[in-house]
Amino acid sequence: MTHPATTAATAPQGVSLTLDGVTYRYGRGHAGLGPLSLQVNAGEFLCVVGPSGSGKSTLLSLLAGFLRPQVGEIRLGETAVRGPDPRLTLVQQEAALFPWRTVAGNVAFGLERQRLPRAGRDARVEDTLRLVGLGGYGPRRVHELSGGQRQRVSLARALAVQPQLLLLDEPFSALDDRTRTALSDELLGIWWSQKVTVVFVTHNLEEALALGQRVVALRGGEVVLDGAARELNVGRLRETLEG
Amino acid sequence: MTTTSPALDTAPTRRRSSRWRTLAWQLAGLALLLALWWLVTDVLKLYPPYVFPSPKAVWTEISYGLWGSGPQDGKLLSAIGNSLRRVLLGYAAAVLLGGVVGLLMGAWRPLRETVGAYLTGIQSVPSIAFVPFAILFFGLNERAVLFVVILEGFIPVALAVSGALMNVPPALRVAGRTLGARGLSLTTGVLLPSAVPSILTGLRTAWSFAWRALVGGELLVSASASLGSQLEVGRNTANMALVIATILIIGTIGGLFDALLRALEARVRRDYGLEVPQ
Repeated sequence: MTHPATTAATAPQGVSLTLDGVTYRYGRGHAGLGPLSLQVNAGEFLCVVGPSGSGKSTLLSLLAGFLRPQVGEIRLGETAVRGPDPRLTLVQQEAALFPWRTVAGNVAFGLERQRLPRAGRDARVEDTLRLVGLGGYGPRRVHELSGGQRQRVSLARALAVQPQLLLLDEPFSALDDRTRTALSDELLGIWWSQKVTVVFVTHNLEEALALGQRVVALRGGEVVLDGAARELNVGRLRETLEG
Repeated sequence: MTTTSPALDTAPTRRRSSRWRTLAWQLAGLALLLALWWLVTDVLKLYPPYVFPSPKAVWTEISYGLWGSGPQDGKLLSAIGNSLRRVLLGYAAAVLLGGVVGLLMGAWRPLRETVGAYLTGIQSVPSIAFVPFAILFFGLNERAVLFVVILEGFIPVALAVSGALMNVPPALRVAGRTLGARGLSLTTGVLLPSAVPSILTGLRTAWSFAWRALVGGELLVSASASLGSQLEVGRNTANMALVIATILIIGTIGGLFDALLRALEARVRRDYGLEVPQ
């Protein structure tokens, strides 16, 4: 698959991710996570599946630096994650676009924080919008977009800062099947061209197997299955998750 | 690819036609009220003119007060000028002070739970109750009036700002933080812009509180010509037409400012995608 702005929006290569005995507990009676040890290679596309309460969201919050492990350590490359890290970005379940900004303004948000000069910023914004199939949509207001287009903008906003690790929290779950399939294909194309490391959280087993190189299944905050997607099937995943 | 649906294309036209319809209803309602007033005073003569004057008598008072050329004329015009100057000064100070206090309350929970609760309590006290305190503290002068205006205006702003900051959707905070916004950058880049529609609602409430507080204060502190003092003059001279004329002017100015802020609020809500096209 080719994308129009693949070369223009060249990102740094992906980074490896290491979870070393990571544990997080919310308190008595509340499920948490871990102890969890996991190694994600640079440039790998990992899907994390599990039912509600399995610890998927906690894992993402820990990876994004919003929570700190009570035990253990998370490393990006060789450095520990101690808070939100500029090398990673998160795409959430809802697009969470800033309604007071245009499409281009949303995509430029992270670049403004990086203090990228205006000319370079504008070029990067347009390149990234083309990458997600929204070239020319920059001046539009976000409420004029469809659900799928909003999620594309959200993806563009995350990609524009050229992250080395891209976290995705069920980003296509609110979309119809056709849009979800189209966006999944585009995401794979972007991952393939950008070589970014991806951690994709979903409860949709088919989606996980179609997208990921590797699938990790969580239950009760622990890894109950970790394998190459091509060696797994929905039946086995479901059986493992249901225990 | 086009994203603008036919429903969106026709939305501005429908909005304009709905606005005209609303205006037509409002004018019809006003005409009905005037007709009733005229019927009660000029036709049925249910009350003596010094108790309930006719629309014509009130209009005469307004026209002499606003553009009359006699030595006693034009007092309403200078009263409007003085009152507007006072309220705009007080309102601006209230918005500034309320914005800062609201920001601090939004950022620091102990402040919100202490000062916030007191402010809610103070807000329930009618503004007129603070006038004697202001007179004793500042003296019988303009500062006493400004104090009451600022006090009444800043509380809704502070509560609106802190409330709006607390109600920023968590997903927007997360988006801001993951894209590198922290501290002041998160506040100015995400939290405050996200809170703008709710803050504008607070500004409208603050305007109405400040305007009412001003007239209340001016009633008791007649430092110079003002709308409040015109009410007092009307009462002292048993000139009910002047009293009604002043009330109408107060209502009209208050309503016009409110309409201005309402239009701004509607514009922002549209830009934020908070209004569904009908």
